[in-house]
Amino acid sequence: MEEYLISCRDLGKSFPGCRALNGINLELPRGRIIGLLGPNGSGKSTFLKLCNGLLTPDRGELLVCGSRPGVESKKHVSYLPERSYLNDWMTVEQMIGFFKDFYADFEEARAYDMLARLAVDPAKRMKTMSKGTKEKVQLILVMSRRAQLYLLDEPIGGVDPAARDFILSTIITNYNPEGSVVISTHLIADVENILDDVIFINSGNIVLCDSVENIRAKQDKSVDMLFREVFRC
Amino acid sequence: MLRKLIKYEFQATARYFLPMYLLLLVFAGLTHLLISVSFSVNETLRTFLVEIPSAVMSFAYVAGLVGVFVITVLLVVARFYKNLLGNEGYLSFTLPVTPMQHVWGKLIPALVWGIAGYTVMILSIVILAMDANTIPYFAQVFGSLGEAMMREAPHSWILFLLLLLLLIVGILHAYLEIYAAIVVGCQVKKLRILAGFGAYVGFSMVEQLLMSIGLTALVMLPDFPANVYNLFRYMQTAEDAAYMVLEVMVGCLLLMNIVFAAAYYIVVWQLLRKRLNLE
Repeated sequence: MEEYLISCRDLGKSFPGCRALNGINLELPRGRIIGLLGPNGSGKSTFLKLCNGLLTPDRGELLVCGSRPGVESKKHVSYLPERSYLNDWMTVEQMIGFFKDFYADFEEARAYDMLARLAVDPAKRMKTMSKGTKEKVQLILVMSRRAQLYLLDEPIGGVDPAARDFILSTIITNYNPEGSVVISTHLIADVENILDDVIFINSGNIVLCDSVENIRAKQDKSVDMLFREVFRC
Repeated sequence: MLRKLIKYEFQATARYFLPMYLLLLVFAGLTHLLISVSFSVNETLRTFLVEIPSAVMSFAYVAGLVGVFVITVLLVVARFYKNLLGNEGYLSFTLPVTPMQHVWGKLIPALVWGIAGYTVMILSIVILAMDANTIPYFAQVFGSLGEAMMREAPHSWILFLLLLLLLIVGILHAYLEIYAAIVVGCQVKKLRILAGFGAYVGFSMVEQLLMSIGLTALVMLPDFPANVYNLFRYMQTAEDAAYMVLEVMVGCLLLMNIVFAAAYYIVVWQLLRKRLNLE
């Protein structure tokens, strides 16, 4: 079993007129909940998309669960993008069948249990749901896998505060203890309490990578306060 | 995994194709009914009860025929773009399958619907022309034609096989050209649909150019007429020679379609593998 779930060296990605990732080096271990924190446009989503093979890097090396992003890594990575990505003509039940068909680690019973707790009707079509409900369904599907690595891009961005608590408790209680969770967000105060480690990213560069414990001990500040200090406009 | 992709692709597309095909057959049936109805009423009543409805229905049927073709192409474009390169691509490309399994997962159902579309069109024409006399008449004509062909040119089945292959490869070629144009269009950041359309026009122009160059080079070969004559002079009858000419022509068309389809396949494969960049 690989020591690091994500390992990248000099990873770079540019878009016309903007350098999204500027040759970053990073190693993410197992068994941690990691906050990938940075302001809008800092490169958080680009990094997660590269890890999922949705973007092709311009330079550098990236290994996810021991292999380059591809069929093998995708078996072990559960990804939640920042947008609605489910087939809107399907019902929730059909989506569950879809995930069960393609992912060997998908646990149907967990998905139905979480749906019942959130009072989401499995017979409902995706396109008839509100944006918030769709996001809940997406998170339920993603967290119902026994994946090694969960990459969650803005999982609490579009839901109400009550649902945020549910989502965060879902993340804590459902992730595989041998795996890790990476949560990308700029809503630091909401996620701070569940994080083990944080990575600050700005303009495509890693600014800081440390454990929450160390930050609190060394700097005597909360992650939220440190974030505001580092990224002050 | 490919089987599962195909299953979901059929589920996603059947809800458009099946009602469309059913509608076309219903239109053909109603048009046939209105055209063939005859009863003795006065002329004004006949105009309102039969002639106007049959004209409207005939128009609807022709529009349906055109619609089947247009909607099939639009669906092929929309499914590929939306499901692989739009928001749904975030799900598709995080499934543990290769990019080319995704392409085959789209291509095979599209091919099946394409062949089904042709079949339904032919069936609708049969329904339109059907009455107590036409079916036995057509059966007799096709029976005699088959018998004559087997008697005069026993190897004519090769021609039919080649034509069938040409139909299948022709559909694959057309769809792969569309897929390649979409993937090339997605290499730019803005105006992707326009860029895809431009790529499609560009591909078609390159095809035409290559075909013209190939034909010109063939005709300009030294002793071309003599070689063509030598190719067919061993044929025992004029029918055999005619079949041989047709087989060579269809074979060339088939080869050309295979070459272009393979080229587009490589474009799609390489771009999805090495330059996938979802928005």
